[in-house]
Amino acid sequence: MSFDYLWTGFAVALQAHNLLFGLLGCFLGTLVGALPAIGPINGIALLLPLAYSMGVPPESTMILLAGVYYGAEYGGRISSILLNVPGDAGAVMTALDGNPMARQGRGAEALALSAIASFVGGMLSVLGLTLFAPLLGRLAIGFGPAEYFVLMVFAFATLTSMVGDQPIKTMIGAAIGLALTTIGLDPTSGAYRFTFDEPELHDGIEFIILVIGLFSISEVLLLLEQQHRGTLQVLSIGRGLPSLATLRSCLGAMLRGTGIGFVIGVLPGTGASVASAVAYTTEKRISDHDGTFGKGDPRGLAAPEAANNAAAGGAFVPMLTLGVPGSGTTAVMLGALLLYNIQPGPQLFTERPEIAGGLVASMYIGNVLLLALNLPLVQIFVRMLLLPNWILLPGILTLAFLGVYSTYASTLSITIMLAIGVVGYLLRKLGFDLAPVILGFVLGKVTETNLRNALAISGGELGIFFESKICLVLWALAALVLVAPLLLRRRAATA
Amino acid sequence: MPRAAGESGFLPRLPALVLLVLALAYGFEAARIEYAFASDPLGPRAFPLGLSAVLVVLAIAWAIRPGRAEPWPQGALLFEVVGLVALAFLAAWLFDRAGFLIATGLFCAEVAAMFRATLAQAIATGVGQALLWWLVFTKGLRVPLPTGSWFTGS
Repeated sequence: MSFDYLWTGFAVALQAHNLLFGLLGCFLGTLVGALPAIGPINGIALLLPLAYSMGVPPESTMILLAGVYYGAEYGGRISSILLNVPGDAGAVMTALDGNPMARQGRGAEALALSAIASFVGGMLSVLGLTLFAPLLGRLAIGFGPAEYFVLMVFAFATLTSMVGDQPIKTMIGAAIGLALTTIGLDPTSGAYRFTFDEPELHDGIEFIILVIGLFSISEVLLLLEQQHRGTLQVLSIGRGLPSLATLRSCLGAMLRGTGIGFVIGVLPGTGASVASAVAYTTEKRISDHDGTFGKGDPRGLAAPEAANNAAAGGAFVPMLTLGVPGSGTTAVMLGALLLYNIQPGPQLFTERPEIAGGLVASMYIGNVLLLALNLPLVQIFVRMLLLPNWILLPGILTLAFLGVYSTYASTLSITIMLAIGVVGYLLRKLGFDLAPVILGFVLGKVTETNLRNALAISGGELGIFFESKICLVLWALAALVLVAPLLLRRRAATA
Repeated sequence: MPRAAGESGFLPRLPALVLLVLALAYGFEAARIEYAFASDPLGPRAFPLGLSAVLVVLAIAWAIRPGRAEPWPQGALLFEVVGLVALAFLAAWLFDRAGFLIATGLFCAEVAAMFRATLAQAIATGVGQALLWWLVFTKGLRVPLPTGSWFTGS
């Protein structure tokens, strides 16, 4: 395959006005993403009609939107790390070790590390996109329902690493998350499940409502308790960049996170949230020998951060090569291409090299711009921690309301979000982690749909899950994830 | 040897029993899901029914060994926690009735007061945040926010 399109692309993307569009996109995206619950989709959906109506040429629009996408992905980490309130779905895992770091006075370091891990994940995934896009497009086609189901089995196998000292509660959490996905219209049979004749429930519980409710509302209630007991910490912001030793210790985590994130990102229907979840649980399996994960281990921050940015890059592969969006955000970008009468697909690289190449080139440039923009801004963002609680917490609650309302324009969804928040508070008081609930929810829909579709194809024969090579490899990986730590432990014990 | 606090008695087991009841109700509802036809061998009932069975087993296991839990808020703190939740639901109810500015302004001021703001600080937080987010969302992000059905009569 020739890379002529890419040189054309760099020539386009390095023009001054396109660089400016990229920078503007990164900046606006970071701002939009930093607001809890306002994610990349909102940012892109918002800027697209604006750019179109201003007569911006298509390649510049795509560069602007890719910048917004990357910027918002990064901006979502800020509230996740500093406030334990994830900005979007992909940032839930980031809070697990990122927020403890901030509580230990390493907030600035955590933000910088997250920017660097994002850069590594983003950069390598664009490289993967450049080199292997057509090949990966074929892999994505090879994934039928059976393969997706076995992939989910693998994801659940990595979830066993989340089993802490209270395994029953971890399993209950995941089961609750799974149960929540069964609410709403069942697409296969058209049956309404657990909707209680309430039209608002027909589409089920939206992920963003669950995330906002579980995390922001319960966090504010717990802070209220801490203040009453006088145990509320005064946080310090810490000094800037992570040390070279920290970065070196995180390198493996970043590379593994990138690999996992990229492959999962390429598959349509599994986005940054699944990627970061699998990356975190896998990294915990591999690296957590001393039980430091979940208590501010930089590797627990680096792995999901690299993964969700790698997934963001991977999601462009099926969009550009097949015209199939790999995530909600790329679906909106696909809409942007169609708006300009451009049909994505393999011929895009030969017929409109300035678009395909410009986009890919702008992803390289966007990653560099984002890192250059965000490392200095860390010192400003981290000052959010110094705001007194009587300013910060009303703001978090208002944004929780607005995040839900701006997406669903209904006050009933705010009420549902609050009810979920109360449940989240009760669960945390009862000694539950909220992460397994989110994991169960993220994996639930994909698991059930593909299990049933696969069985529909095979007429109920279970053999379909063992037929293809991809399935067999995934089964082997799942078994490896389950068995390897036991073997390693036994070897360590006998050594 | 005395057992660790939170491990004995009925009260620590109550949440597990609530979960057990919910899991059974979930399974019961799952069994009643109506559908005309299913294009797959499992149908819409199988997955939730299986989950219900898993949850029942897990709830029983949890009831046998309740494990660690944090102490529940009591007295004045309980009042504050319940109060904050109630105010949040009230703000949601007022959201499209009294409009974003009034609902959010009041709510922000009350929350600020709960987190030890002085009266002046609380009022400033309420007014300031309501206006700030109104401007950010309606002007910056172009998200229309409710102006209040009580005032517009719709």
